[in-house]
Amino acid sequence: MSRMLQSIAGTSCLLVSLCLLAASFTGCDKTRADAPQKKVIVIGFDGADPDLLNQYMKEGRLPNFSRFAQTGDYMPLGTSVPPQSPVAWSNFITGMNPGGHGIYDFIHRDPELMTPISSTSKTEGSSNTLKIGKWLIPLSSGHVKNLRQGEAFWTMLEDRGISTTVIKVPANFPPIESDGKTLSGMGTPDLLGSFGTFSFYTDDPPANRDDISGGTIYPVTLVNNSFESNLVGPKNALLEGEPDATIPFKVYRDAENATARIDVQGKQILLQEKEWSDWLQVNFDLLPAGLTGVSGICRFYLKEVRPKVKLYVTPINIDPSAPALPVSTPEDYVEDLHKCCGNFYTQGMPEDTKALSWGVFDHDDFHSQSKNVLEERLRMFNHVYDNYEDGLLFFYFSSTDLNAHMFYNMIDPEHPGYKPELAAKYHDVIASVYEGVDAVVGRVLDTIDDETTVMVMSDHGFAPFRRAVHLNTWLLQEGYVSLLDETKQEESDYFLNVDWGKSQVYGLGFNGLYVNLLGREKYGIVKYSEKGKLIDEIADKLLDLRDPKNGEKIVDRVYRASEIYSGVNLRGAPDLVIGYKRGYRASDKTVLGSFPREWIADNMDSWSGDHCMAAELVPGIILSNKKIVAENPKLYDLAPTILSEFGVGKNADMVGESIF
Amino acid sequence: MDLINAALNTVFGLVFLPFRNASPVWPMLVISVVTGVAMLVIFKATSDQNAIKRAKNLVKGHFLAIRLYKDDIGLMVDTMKNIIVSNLLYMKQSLRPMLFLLVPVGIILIQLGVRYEFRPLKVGEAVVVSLRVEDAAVELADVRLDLPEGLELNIPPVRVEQLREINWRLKATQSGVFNLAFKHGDHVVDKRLQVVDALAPVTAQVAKHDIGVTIMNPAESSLGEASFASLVSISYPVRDFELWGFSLHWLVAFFVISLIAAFGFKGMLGVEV
Repeated sequence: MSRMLQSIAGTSCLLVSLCLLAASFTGCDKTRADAPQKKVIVIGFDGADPDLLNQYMKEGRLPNFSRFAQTGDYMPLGTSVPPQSPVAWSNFITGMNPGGHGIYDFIHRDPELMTPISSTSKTEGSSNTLKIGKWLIPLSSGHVKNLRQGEAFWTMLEDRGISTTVIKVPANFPPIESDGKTLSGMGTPDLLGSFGTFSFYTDDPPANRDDISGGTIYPVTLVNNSFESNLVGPKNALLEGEPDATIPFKVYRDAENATARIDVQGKQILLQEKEWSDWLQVNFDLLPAGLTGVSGICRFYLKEVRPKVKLYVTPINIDPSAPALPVSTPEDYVEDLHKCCGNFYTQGMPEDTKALSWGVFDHDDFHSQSKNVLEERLRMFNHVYDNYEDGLLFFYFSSTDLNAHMFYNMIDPEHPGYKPELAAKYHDVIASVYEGVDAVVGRVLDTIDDETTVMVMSDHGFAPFRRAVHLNTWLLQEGYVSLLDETKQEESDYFLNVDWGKSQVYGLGFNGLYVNLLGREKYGIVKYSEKGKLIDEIADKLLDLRDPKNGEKIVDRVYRASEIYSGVNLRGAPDLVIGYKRGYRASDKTVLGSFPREWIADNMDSWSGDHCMAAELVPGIILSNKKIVAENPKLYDLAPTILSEFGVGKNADMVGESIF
Repeated sequence: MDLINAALNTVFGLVFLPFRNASPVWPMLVISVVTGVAMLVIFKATSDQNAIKRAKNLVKGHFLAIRLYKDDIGLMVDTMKNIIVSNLLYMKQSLRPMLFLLVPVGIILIQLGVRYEFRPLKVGEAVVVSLRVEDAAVELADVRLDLPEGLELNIPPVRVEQLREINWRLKATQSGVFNLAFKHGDHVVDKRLQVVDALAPVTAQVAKHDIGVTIMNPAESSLGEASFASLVSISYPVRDFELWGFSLHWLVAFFVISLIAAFGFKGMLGVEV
């Protein structure tokens, strides 16, 4: 009898425990029992420009920005030198200039190899593998390294017990170790390890399909109104030769309707022309029978059904519900966001500017994708803001930047790519993006208490990009660079045709110019003692440089690294940073070491607005509900400002000061 | 088969009735626990409990021999062989009760499956509905779908001649249980579509002749002999089943909970397993 009673008691306890556990479901929201902390909210709008903001506020289109500017303080915010997002956001994150955090451009160079490399992160595969047949089994794990140096201000806050939430801040991939909640932003790759590689399947491939960067064109042949192809995923490092992991899919086109069915991994998607699918989870097998694989997400866009079939697939994004690479801290925070917000672009720069630049997208296509991105980001903001209690909240929006890049020629009649019929249709796009994010400002202003500090800021402003300067070609024509084979001037890139033994300088990145210095560069020839004179000579020539088309000056100012940078990471600095005038920028070709025939050309790309110019010409914005006492606040002042709001002193490496 | 399904639907409809407004976790907990206990009872009634006990004791004895005579390689090898034989004997004793359990557990799993594998649509969601027509005399272009109020056609259909399929994407604008009427001339094929925010049996497929589809989708009758369609499918969303905050497949939850319950009640019911 007692055995039976024991058994009943034991089983009852077990079932009660099960029931209690079942009742204690954890939802999306988490509560914290700590004492309330100070609140500081920083909203970052990449590329929000003071001139555009003023114009739209004046037109009455931004009621919440206007209210904030009137009730608080509003000023231009000095950007970084050069004013590029990875550099600027690194200034913001560390309170240092590039001499401290070591990020000088989107692109750096490896002086040992004389090739361009990504400035913000580095991926290293497994160094040891075991070969079994055609399979390579890794014996150690590879890793991704964040190359930004210096301490992020939010980790300093966490060290003092202040809770932090930092969403999508650029130049933070992989996210640095943190006790707070962070989600990586610009710089986060897609599943292929690139900054975004789209796929485009068509029976009408363009003639220049092999030249297209940022995506791959896959020619298809329709048989009985259907075609088969593959989604191309990451390299399978477990197989000899590292072939691409692929997923087959099949598309069926309706015989009459402008609709199609896409069958992928047992799922069916129906789309009509000009329609986006929802996010689709796809699993790439790396070992047979699904023993191991990697999961990604993508969206399909049925651009055209007939007469030609055109199917666009987004870059395969890291799956937020099962991330293959670290994109958040804690590592499962991204999964929590996924549970509450659904799938979202984990890729750092989601708007597919390359697809528009190469004509895979038209402006309508790009605009529809851009709206998807903004809707997703707003949904995530609302979720994060709903769950924000105290401490620091930083949230970043990319739409203000990438739409200005791609639609600037719609508001700039002087742009060589300006077309009145297109401008009539799209002149309002940039303004509509500002209107979209105005609601974010409104929500924050409507819900804060008097003790909360709010800052709305951008990393830089915007300017027209009308003329593309092929700096390396100019250096070649001026005799500072020599080629190995002049007949192949236009055919090679990545400096492969440069005769380093006869070249004194080279342009790399969007604003950088490097001396081919003896002892630093692999094939350096210029002695250190000659460097200063050479730099002065080139600087003078650049400042006198005039556009043959209109006689206007091209370069507003040049910055010598030794004069503007300070810190412990000066080794990678360019010797000269070129501050172009508004309307001018280094061409896409020159930044990676190509040598087109002409040294300057009209910029006919859809990428028609930019900010890689003189920093003084493209300031960002800062709005705050506290009085700003600094006369010329700068990006690197914001880290000390935020720390100061929590009563935390800045560290010795920070060059900025609190703006309050 | 349809009659059997109808009877089982009625029984399980009553079982789930008290939980109609509860979280899907509760019926899963209760049914798994009850099933676990019921399996024990059936196991006890249909097995030779003494033989099972003997087989288990034999295995235990051989393991003890391994510990005692670990220095004697010859004996160790013999004991290993004996352990395998004893285990096979033990498994043989379990075979009969397992056969008795197969049908009831299968029925329970199928009835749970129609509720937990997929979930009904929610208002605002879209779903792909596919109709397969094997009869070559039927022109796909002549088949139409009549929708009741509460459902709307999202985009024009996709007709795939090589698969003999027509696909529609429907969006739910109201909640309810709707009837989809596929028409070809005077012939009509009906299929239910569930748009409810509750645990309800959903039928992802109905077939004309496919007995497997009919067994696995018991909540709706199979298509009649006169049907011009051979299969109708609805790609209902997969149900995310969470237990204590952990996402897991409902089958795993079912087996884990029923096993815990079975082991919990084993002593009380005096069952040797």
